[in-house]
Amino acid sequence: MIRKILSLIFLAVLVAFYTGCKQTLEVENPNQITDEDLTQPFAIPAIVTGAAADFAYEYQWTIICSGLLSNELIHIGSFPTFREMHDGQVQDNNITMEDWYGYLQRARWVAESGAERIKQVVGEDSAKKMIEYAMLRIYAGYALIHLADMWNGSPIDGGPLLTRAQIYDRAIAHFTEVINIADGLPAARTFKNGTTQTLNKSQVKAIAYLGRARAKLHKGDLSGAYQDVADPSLFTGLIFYAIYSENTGRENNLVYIYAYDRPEVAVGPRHQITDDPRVPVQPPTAARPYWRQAKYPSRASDIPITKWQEAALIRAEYYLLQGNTASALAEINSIRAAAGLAPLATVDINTLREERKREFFLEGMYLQDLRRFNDPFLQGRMAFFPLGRREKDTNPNLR
Amino acid sequence: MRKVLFIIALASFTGLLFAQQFGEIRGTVYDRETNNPLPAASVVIVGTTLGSATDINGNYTIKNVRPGTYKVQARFIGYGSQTKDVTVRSGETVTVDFYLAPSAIQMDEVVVTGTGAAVEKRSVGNTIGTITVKDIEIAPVRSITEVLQGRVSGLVALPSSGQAGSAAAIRLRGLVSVSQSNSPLIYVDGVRVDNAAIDYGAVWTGGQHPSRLNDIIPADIERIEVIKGAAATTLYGTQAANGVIQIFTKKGISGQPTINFMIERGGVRVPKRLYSTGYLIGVFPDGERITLGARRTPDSVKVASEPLANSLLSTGPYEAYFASIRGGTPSVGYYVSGRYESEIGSIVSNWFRRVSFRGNLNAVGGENWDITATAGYTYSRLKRPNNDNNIYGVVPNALLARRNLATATNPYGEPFTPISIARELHNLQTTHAFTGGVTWSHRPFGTFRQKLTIGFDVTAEENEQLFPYGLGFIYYPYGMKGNLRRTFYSLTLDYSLAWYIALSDKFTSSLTAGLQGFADSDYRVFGQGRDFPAPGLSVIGAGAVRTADEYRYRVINGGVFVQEQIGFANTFFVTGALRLDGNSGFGPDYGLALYPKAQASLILSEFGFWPKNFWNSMKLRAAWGQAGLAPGVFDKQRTWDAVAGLDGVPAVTPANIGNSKLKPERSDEIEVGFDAGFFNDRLGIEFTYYRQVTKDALLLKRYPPSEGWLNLQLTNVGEVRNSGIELTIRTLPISTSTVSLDVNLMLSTNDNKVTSLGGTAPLPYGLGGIGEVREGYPINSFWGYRLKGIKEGSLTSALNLLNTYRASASYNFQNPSHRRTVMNAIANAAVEVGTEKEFLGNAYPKLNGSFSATLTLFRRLSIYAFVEWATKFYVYNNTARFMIRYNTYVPEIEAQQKVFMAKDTVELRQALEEWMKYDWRADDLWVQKGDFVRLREVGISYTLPTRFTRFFGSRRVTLTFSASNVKLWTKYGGPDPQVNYAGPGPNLNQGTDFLTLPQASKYFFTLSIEF
Repeated sequence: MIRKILSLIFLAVLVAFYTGCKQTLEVENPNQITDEDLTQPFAIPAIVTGAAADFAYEYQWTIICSGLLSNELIHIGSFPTFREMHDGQVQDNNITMEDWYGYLQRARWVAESGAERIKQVVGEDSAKKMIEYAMLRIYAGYALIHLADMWNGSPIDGGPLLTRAQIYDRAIAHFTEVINIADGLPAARTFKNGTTQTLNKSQVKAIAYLGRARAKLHKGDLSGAYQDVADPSLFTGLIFYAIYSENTGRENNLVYIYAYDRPEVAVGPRHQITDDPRVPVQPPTAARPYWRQAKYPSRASDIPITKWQEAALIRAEYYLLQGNTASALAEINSIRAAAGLAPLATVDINTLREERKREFFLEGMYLQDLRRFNDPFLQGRMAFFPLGRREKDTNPNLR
Repeated sequence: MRKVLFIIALASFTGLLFAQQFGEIRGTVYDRETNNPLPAASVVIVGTTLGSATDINGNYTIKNVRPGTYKVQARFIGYGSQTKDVTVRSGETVTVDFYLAPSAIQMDEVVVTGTGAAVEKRSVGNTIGTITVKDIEIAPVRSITEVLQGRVSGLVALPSSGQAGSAAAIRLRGLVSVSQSNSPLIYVDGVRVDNAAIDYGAVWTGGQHPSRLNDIIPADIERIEVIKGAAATTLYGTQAANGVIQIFTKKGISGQPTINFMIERGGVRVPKRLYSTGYLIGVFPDGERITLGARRTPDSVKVASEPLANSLLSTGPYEAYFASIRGGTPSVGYYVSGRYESEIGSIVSNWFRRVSFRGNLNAVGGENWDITATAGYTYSRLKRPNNDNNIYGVVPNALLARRNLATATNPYGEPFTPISIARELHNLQTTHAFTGGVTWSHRPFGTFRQKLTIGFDVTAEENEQLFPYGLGFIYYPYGMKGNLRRTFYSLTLDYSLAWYIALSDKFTSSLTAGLQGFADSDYRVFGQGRDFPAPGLSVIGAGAVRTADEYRYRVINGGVFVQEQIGFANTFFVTGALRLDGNSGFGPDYGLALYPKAQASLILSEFGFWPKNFWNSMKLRAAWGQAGLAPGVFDKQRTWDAVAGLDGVPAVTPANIGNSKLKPERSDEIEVGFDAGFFNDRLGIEFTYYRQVTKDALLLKRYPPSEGWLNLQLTNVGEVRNSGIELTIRTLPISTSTVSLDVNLMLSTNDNKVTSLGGTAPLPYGLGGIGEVREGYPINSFWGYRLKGIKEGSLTSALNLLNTYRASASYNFQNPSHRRTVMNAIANAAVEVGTEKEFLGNAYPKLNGSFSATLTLFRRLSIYAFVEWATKFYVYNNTARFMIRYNTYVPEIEAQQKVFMAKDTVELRQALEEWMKYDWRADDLWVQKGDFVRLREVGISYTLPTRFTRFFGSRRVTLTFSASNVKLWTKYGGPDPQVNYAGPGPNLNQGTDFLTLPQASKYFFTLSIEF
C-alpha cells in the first residue's frame, strides 16, 4: 500500500517536473526596464529626467577633475587618481578620468538619442513642439561643450576622432535647433527643473543662446559669441541649475562630498580668497588644516550650468577686445553690484580674468580659461585630459 | 519519456514477486590491528542490492537471502575491503566475521558524487577527493574551508583576512571563468546549498565579507567528496564547471545511543609586530618632529606604536560547547546535535557567534525501501569593524596615521576617522540558515534502484550598519542606519535510477538516468535612514532622510542525464553519459545545452602478470567530459535602470547592453591518472593529470564609452585553459596496536592561461588597474611599470633641485607632505620608471602542497602536524605602497632622510639607490613574491585510560590541544601573503594586500566526553 502511494506521489512529481521543463525557463524580471518599454509616449518624461540626471552626474565630475587639473582644487586625500590630476600628469588609464569620460559620453548620448527617440515616438513635427525635446538638445549641447573643453578631440558614438571644433559645432547645432523651435513651443508648457525652478520657453531660448555663445567663445569665435548674448534683456536674472538632492545617493552633490564632507580635495592657492561672496571658502582651522569650499555646503546644493553673468562677461570680453573699456567696465560692475561688491574703477584683460575666475568658481570653467588666456601655470603640465585607454582599446576607428 | 515512466512504474510494483524460504548472514567486523569492532562498516552481497551496516558493536545481519553461494564483502572508510565466499541454505543462519586492515588506498570505497548512483571507486574514471571525520579529528578546524584547505589535492582555499568571520574562497583546479563565479557547487546530503559570498555595496564595510559556507558546521560532518573538473561533473551540467563538493553529515547507527559532549576554550590572536621594522601601527613617536638630518630608529617607532597596537589588538577568547546523540535500531537510526560557538576577534569590534542544531533520521520502511531525512539549522551573528579599503576602517586609519599631524580630535593623526570613533561603528550580520532534505531509496526488484531527493535550503540574512549620532563620521555626522535583508531559497529536486544487469558471467551493464531541477530565488530589500534628531537612535525610521531599494532574482535550471557503464570481469569499465540542460540565463537565440562524458578505468592489478607481492593494487583511469557555467539571468537583455533625477522624479539610465546569443561557457576536460597501492595498500599513490579548455568563455566585453553604454557586456568569445597535475601520497608506515603513524603528502600544480580574448580588448581591473586579463597570460595577472634605475646624467640637476628646495622658505622638512613633494620631485628628476606596462606575475599559486603526519601511541596519545605551502605566485603589497604615499612607512622615511642630506652627486646616487627600493611609482617593487610555508595546524590529543573514564561514568574521555597558523615562513614583504582586500568573492582582484589584517593564529583546548 505504502509502495503504491509512494509510486503515485513519485509519478506526480515526475509529471510536474516534466511540464515544468517544457515551459520556458521564465524568470522574474521586475528589476529591469527593456529598451522597447521606452519607445512609448508615456516614457518621455522619464527619458528627459534621466538625461537631466545623467548630465548632473557628469557635471559634478567635470568640476572635480578639471578643478584638480587646473588646481582650482588641490588633492589632499587618498585617491592616487586625484593626485595625478593635481600633478598635471594624468595617465590614460586613470580610472577616475575613464569613469568621468564615460559619464560625460553617457550624458551626451542619452540626451541626443532621447531627442531622436521622441521624434520616433511622436513624429518630428510634434517633437519640435515639445519643451522636453528642447531640453534634451540643451543637455546634449552642454555635455558636448564639456567634452570639447576637457579633451583635445574625442570620438562620438564609437566613430573616428573628432576635433574640438567639430564637437563645438555639434553643440552649436543642438543650441541652434532650440533657438529655432523655441518661439513655436506652446506657451503653457514649462519644464520643471527640480522643485524650485520652472523654465518657460523664453528662458529655454535664453539658455540655448548662452550655450551657443559659450561654444563659440571656447571655439575661438568671440564676436560670434557676442552676437548671441548682445541683448542683456534676454538673460535678466537667469540661472540654469543642475539639480542635486538628498533623495538618492546618485542625486547627491559629489563636489560637496569630496570637497566639503570628506577631506579629498581642498581649495587651491589661487582661490583662497576671503573677501568675495562669489568664492565662499573657509580658511584652515586647528582641526582642519586646509581651505575648504563652502559654495556647495550640502548634498542637495544645486550647481549652476549657466547664468546671466556669463552673458555679461562675454560682452565685457568683446568690448575689451574692441577697446571699449567703458562698456566693459559697466558690464563687470553690474555683476559685481549683483554680488554686493564695490565697483571697479578700471578694467583690463587681467581684471576680466579675475572676475571670470571668481564668478565661475567651481563651475568647471577655470581650466578652459587658463588655456584660453595662455596662463603660465599650464607650462609643463597637461592642459587637456588624455583620451582614455578604454576608448582607445575598444573603438575600432582609433586603432 | 514515456518509456522511462513505464520502467519506473514497473519497477515500483514488481517488488513483491519474489517470496520463498530465505536464509540469513550475520557476524562482526573488526579492525585487524586492534581487534576493535568497527561500527557503521558496510557488508554487502556482491552483485545484489542486499547489504547491511554494522551497529555500534560492529555486528551486522543480512536477512532474506535466497539460498545460494555468494561473495560477501565488508568495507569501511580507511580500511581495505575483505571478501568471503558464503553459502546460504534455506532457513539457516551463517556467521561470517571480517577482519579489516587499515589501508592508504581503497579501491572498493563507495562514492556517489558525479557518478549518477552509488558505485565503487574502481569503476570510476575520474579522481574523487574524499575527506573523512578521521582526517579532522584532532585538527583545529572550525569552518568548512578550513576542513577542505590542503586536504584534497587540486583544491585551493584563498583566505582573505584575519578578521573573525572572514571567509576563504575555494577554487578547484584553478580559475575556469573570467567573468562567472569560480566557486564550486556545494551539496549537503544531496541538497544544493547557498554558496554565496556577497559584498553588499549598500552596507559595505571595506572589502572583507563573510561567506554562506560559514553556516556549515564541521562537527557534524561524516565525510566529504570532491570532484574537481568538467570530466567528473558532467552529470551536474550547467553551473558545475568549477567542481562539486558534497558533504555528508553524520547518520544514525544501530545500537545503544552514543552521547558526546565537547567543551572548547581557546584564543585568537593577530601578531602585532608586522611591518618589518615597526608594529602594525605605523605612527610616528609622540612629539617627534622630523628635521633634516635627524635619525629615527625603529625602536622609537615601536615605543610610540605599542600603546596604540595594544589598544587595538588583543587575544580574543574562543569558546564552544557541543553535544550530540547518535543511535538507533536496525530499522531506525538518528543523529541529533547542537553547538554553540563564540569567537572574539583579535581586532576591536569583531566577534562571531554561532548556534546550530542538526537532526538526521534514517529509517528502513520495508523490504525494499528506506528513507532519510536531514535537517540542519544555523543561527549566527557576526560583528566586524570597517576594514581594508575604507575611510572608516580601524586598521587603515591606524596604518596611515601620522602622529605629527595629530590634532585634538585625531590624537594619532588619523587621516579620516579617529580610531576611537571608528571602533564605534556597528556592522552586524544576523543569519538564519536552514537546509533540509528527504531522500527516498527504493529497490523495487532485483538490481534496480531508484532514489529521489527533495531538498530545501533557505537563508535569511540581516545586515545592519549603524553610524551612531554625533560622533563626527564623514558623510554621517548625525548618524545613519542601513539595513539590508536578503532571503535566499533554493529548491532541489533530484531523481536517479540505476539498473545493474549481469549480461554474462564476465560482462555487466549499469544504466543510470536522472532528472534534476533547481530553483534559486534571491530577494533583497535595503533601507537607509540618515540624520537622526538625537543620540541613541538606531532605526531607519528615525532618520530625516530615508532611501530604500529592492532586488529580486529567480533562476531555474533543469536537466536530464543518462549514463551507461559496461564492466568486464570487475577489472575494466567503460562509461558514457549525456546531460541535457536548460537555464534561465541562456539567450533567446540559444536553446538547451548538451554535455557529453566518457570514462574508462582498468584494474591492472587484477591480471595474473601483475607483481602483486609488493605492488598490490593498480588502477589506470581516464575521463573526458564537459560541464558549463551559465550567464546571469539578465545579461542577455538590453536594459535600462530606474533611477531618480531632478530631486526625486523617476528617470531611466542605460544599464545592460544586451546579447541575445548568450549561452553557457563550456569546459571540456580530459584527465588521466592512476591509483596505486603498495605493501598491502600501506602506501597509496594517486596521480592525475588534467587539461581543461573553457570554450565560448564568457568575457566582459568593453565597448567604447563614446557609445554611451558604460557597462561591460558578457559575450561568449574567449578561451581559457587550465592544466596541471595532482599527486596524493598516503602512507601508514607503522600500524600496530601500540604505535601507528599516518603520513600524507599532497602536491598540485595549476597552469592557467587565457588563450583567446576573441578580439576583445584586454580587461584591466584592480586597484590602480594593477590587474589585467590579457591573451597568453593567467586570468589573475599583475601588470605594471618597472623601475629602470637612475637616469644617467641627471644627478647634477637633481642635486640643484634639492638645493633649491632646501633654500626655499616655503618648504618645511618637518612637514611630511612637503617631504613627499620634494622626494617626488627628486625622484621624477633622477629615477626612471618604465612607461610600458609589463607582466609582473600571477596571483593564483602555480604550485600548492601540504604535508601532514599523525603519530598515535598506545591508542591514547595522538600527535598531529600539518604544513601547507604554495609557490610561484605574487601578492600586490598595496599596503606598503600606500603607507609610503602617506609617509608612514619607516624604511622609506629612513631612505628619504639620506637623500635629503646628500651633499654631492656621489652621496645623492648612493642615497637614491637605497631609496629606489621603496619607489612607490614602480609597480614591480610592490608586486611581490608570495611563496610561503605555513605550519598551519598542530594538535595533540590524549584519551584517558578506562579506569579514569569510569570515574566520569563515561565510555571515553579525550583531551586535545590544537592550534592553527602557528608559524609562517614567507618571501613576501608584508606580514602575510594569504590575504585579499576584496574578500573571498571575486574572480579578479585576488592576491591584493591593502590595509588588510593578516591571518590570525588560534589555539584550542578541547575536552570531549563520550557516554
